[in-house]
Amino acid sequence: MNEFAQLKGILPLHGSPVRHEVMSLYDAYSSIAYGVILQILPQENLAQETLVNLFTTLSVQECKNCQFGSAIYIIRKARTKAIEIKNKNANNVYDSLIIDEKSVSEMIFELSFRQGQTPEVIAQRLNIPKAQVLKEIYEYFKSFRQSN
Amino acid sequence: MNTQAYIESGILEAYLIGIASDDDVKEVEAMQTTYPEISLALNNLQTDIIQHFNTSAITPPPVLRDELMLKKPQTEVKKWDFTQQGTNAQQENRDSKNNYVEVEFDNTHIKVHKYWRPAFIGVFILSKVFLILALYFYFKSDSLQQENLRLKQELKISTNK
Repeated sequence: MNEFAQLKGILPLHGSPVRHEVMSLYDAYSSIAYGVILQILPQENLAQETLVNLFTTLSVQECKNCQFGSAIYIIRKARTKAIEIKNKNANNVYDSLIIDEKSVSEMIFELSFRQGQTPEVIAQRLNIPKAQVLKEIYEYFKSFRQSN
Repeated sequence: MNTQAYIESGILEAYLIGIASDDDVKEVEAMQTTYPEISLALNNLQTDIIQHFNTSAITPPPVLRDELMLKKPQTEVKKWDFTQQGTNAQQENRDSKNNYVEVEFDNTHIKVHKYWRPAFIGVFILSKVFLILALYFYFKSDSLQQENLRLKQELKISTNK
């Protein structure tokens, strides 16, 4: 009876190996993913919904096969999901940039990672070559490395 | 090929955090297989990126873990690729069970958009208004007909006199 109920999706698959793997990924990377999502979606309820959605739709196989490890895979997926939701809820977008308080590399990281703009669009918007946009992203991580 | 300049171009960071364009992704994947120093740089960068995002990591509320435990894992819905190449690739495993999302069918209710409610109320109110107007004009025309008949009879009587 229970097996039938589980097949129908009525009961949660507590014991399934996939569920177990998802839960261990959640335990290991939910904080990173939640941090990434909150950077893009500052509204907590929306961010929490996105986090749950991220882990319910996560492909364990793809995550395992990711060349650069599960953490990078989850960071990428969390960003993609959060930007999708952000674009859907266009009214809630907080796109204003406080340029004075940020360096160029921080601003470019903000536009690309948190606001989902492509390097091409940023280059056009800031009237700089695309190579310069990528270089600023390099500088952003370089300054992070140096500060640690 | 100046691999150091390539490593410092920022394309590897863009690739790892998922902001690189499709062309850049293909380029980095080709470069890392050709140049081992680029592959090594990517591996080192991976650690830096994880460390970077670890600094902004926030523990989610514990209730989300319970919510996740109760949810059934879903698979991403893949759309059919209607190009010739995509059709050929999909033709081979068209009947595969993995290509379909199972839908539960034991629910007898349907979901409609929330705007249907005011639309339905509007149509209902309008139908009542038209019904009242129809009845009003029907009785009015009926009374006018009777009045007309009465006046005709009065006129007939007065002309006979």
